[in-house]
Amino acid sequence: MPTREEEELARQARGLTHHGRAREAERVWRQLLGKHHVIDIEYDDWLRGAADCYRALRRHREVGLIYVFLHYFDQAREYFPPETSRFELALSYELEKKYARAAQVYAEQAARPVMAAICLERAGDDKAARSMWERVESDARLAGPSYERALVETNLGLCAGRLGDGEAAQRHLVEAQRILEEVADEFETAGERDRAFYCYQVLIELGKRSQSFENLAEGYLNCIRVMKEDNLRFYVLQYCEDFLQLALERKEFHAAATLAREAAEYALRANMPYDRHYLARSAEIWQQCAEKNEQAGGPPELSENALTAAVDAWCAISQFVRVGECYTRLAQLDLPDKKRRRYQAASERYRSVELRPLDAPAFPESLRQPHAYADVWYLDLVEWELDGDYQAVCATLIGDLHYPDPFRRRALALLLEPPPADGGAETARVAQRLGDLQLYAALRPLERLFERGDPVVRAAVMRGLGQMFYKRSFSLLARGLRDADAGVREAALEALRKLHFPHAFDSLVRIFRESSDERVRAAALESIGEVGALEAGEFLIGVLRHESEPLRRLAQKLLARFENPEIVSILRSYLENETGPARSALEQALRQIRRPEAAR
Amino acid sequence: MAERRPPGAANVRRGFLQRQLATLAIAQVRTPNPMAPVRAASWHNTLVRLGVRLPLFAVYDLGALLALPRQETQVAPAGPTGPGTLGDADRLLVQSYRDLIAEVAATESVERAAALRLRDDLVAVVLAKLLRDVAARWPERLQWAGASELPLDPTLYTAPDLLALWRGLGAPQAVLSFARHLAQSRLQLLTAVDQIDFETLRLLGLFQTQSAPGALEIADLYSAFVSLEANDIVNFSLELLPSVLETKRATGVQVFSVDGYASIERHGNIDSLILTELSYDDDLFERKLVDDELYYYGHEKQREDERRLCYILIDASASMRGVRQVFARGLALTLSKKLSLQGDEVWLRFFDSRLHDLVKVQRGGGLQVPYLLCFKSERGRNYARVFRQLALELARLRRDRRRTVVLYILTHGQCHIPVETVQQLRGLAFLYGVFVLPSQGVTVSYAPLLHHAEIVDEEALSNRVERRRRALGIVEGAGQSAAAR
Repeated sequence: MPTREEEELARQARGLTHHGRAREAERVWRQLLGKHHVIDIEYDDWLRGAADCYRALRRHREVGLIYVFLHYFDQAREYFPPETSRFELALSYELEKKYARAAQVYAEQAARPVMAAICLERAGDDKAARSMWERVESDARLAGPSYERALVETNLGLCAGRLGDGEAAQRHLVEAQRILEEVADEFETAGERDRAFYCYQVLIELGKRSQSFENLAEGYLNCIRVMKEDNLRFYVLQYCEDFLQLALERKEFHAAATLAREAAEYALRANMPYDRHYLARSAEIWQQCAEKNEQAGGPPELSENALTAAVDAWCAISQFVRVGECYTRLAQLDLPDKKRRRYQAASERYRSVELRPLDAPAFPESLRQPHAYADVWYLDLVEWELDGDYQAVCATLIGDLHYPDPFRRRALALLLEPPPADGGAETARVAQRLGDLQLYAALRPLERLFERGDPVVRAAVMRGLGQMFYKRSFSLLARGLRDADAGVREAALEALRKLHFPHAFDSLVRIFRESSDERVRAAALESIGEVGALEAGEFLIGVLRHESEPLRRLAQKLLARFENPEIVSILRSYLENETGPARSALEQALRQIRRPEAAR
Repeated sequence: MAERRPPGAANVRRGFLQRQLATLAIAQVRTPNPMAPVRAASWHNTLVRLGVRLPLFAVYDLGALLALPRQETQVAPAGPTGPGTLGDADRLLVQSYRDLIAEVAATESVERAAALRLRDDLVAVVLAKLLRDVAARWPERLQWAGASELPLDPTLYTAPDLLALWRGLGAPQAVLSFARHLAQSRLQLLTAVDQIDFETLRLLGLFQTQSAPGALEIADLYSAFVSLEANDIVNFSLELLPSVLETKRATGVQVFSVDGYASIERHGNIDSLILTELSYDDDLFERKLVDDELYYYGHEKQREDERRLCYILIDASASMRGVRQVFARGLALTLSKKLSLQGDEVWLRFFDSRLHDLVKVQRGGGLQVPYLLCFKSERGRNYARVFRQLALELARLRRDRRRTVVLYILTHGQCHIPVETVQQLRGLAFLYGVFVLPSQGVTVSYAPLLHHAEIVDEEALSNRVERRRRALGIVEGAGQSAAAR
């Protein structure tokens, strides 16, 4: 609900517009539109008032943008000046799902071939889309093997495939695959696992679309590996679930059963209550595997292996009735008599066992993340095409209902601000506002502002970055920490202190290890201390053991307020083998953990 | 040096030894073998390294049953008696533990294991497999803190006064709680005993190396025992191996009239004819000559200084997950055995986005099998990089050591290596590609550049006879290709 003060401001703004004082009204409207907490009805009302005001000022682009936000597309198009707002015009068509028209405007007027190609695909015009992708491919910036080049090849291959040109599809997709493998490897080597992750996501898509289980496995298992390392527990299990389903659909029982087992081990290690469910799942899949083999007249030894694997899994969750059933089936296989007798004897042992209910909660549907998969082969090319133009990026956000309203409102408020007239303070304000967006999409504009800005802008970028909780933020942050300007370095240091979230651990460790500046190392260590994962606790112990003062004291302080209680047993085990000053530091840390209040 | 050890660490270790020895008071297996407690300490130490920390009595009892010959072990009532030892309830508890040990001793698996006379490292990994889950669910496990490795000096284990040690035990309830927990986990333990993987033990015997296993090898060995995929690879290899074990080293014989005699052959020059062949009458001699039934002396062939190098590359990427991996690794094991028995030098190597550690197969086929069974890729794939690096390596081998190389690539249908790299490799080695279960057929553009390619399809994998036939076909074909080269 708006406050009385806000209602008063709105009344004032309307009055000013009504009395022909639109310029003054505009400042009031912008003040109001900067408030993102009010309910939709009220905010939309303000928006309409602001649109009237901009209309009075003959600032038609702003009117159009407000109408795009409100999804009044026809009205928006009436106001977008065709000579200066071609991109916004095309965007309004795209948001309205008039893809063919959007593609035409993107391609012919807005010089955005990537967005045109995507719209053509969505319009079902694959022939035109293929030509458009070929136009993108010929862009000189895509000459070498790069991630973006791989994405273009992916789109070309998929498009050619839909058009029935198998040979071209194969050529493009193989090229895409080859480049993706190389760049993913480069990203991982450079510590940019988040970017490698996107390469693996494309492989998943290639696997799904081309029915290639090899690519599906490569994509999924590497995504799972990366997410495990980043401690993204729910995503890990969601991807496991999805891969299990796809593997079972393709009758790849072996791969499915082993993954179910790995999921069980992961759930157990990550203190999640789903380990028993995955063990049971693994057992069931092994049984299915045996059944399929028997039906296909396969070697009985294969069924034997599968059933003994099922025994192992059922035994691990004390489901001995199921163990007995597996042994009974084993005794019925066409195996040598000695083995069959052994299995028969084993099955007898479980005959009198009572069936115990299996308390094994499954990974709940409610924990599935709705945006676990992204169309990166589109999104990252759009990012490449917009190349950090913050106005264009914000324009794509305001009408996109995938983003919650507060974020769309912030983007709109930024767009309604007059563009910065200088490369200094005004641009710095834009950087700060981009940070307020907190959206991944704002990272590239921030990177661009950093690359091209004055020290005051670079410092503002760093301040904005303190709100961007993405792994990608750290590569920009690292540049800020090394900046020639002291003010930028100071702002980067401040941002570093704020950037602590579960999957930031690796990046923080990297900064800690690579920096020679004690203040940077201390700030990184403080953030590591806030991460809360056990590996962060172990890292603090490592610092306590091997580093000198003042980092050792800081690590001790951070350990004392470390929230995961399992750190105590880890500390104890290190204590057993430690000597000298490190031992006394460990002892002190242990004492402080036991008396946390005193430590604080 | 003294500073490096924490004050009182020796006392702590000795204290732990006393504590562990005291637990032997409730051990139920009797053996005249005086080294049994020392061996138990060695099994215990390996278990600690594998993260399984237990009271020594359980390690001792189960280990002795697995490791010592049947006639040397006996399950008999035992336990500390007298004032200050066990109450009635505890005595009943020890009895139920004894019943369990007796039941374990009566299983076929234990009988088979005892007959194998397993090495200590193998006993320890089998114990780890049996007790890992049970130990993890032991409710009082935190009371058994401070577990460290035990000394292996036999004098420390000679005739300890178990009763006195038991009486001196600080927290006997923690020890008894494990006996209770084991008795309560009866079915779990018995099922685990039934599941002991003798096939893996057999395979390890076939590929035995001379060196003692280090810490890494122990970890691999343990992984080989607990990994279900490894189990499948083992079974597949054992299916194939009997067919190649008869392989003989290629003989060094030729029929030109130079060098000393080496053999008797069915063909040769007249000057090499065995003289007794001339004793036949003319008709018979002519008939034998026409039918190639005469015997000639064969001469020694001068062997090449350098043996042929068979370089087996196994794709370890996630794309191989499942049956592809089972087939590829099983085949690699068999292939390496066959080629090394044939006299070739064999190198094995996993690849994904890297060429991983090189494994050189010993003459006669000795090989670190657990590593081969359990290697797990922790990276994506990058075939362009891997094969570029390989081409450089092979070029160096050829330049510096003039090696003749046969390169086997065991991979899947989406292994896209740049054509120019394959072209380069073709000039350096005989290329033999095996594509396992390609889900879309083999569409790699370099296929025509391979000297030989085999595609193993689903039909071949789902039928035992066919799977074996295809695998052995590849092994035989590979052997011949290598020889021809």
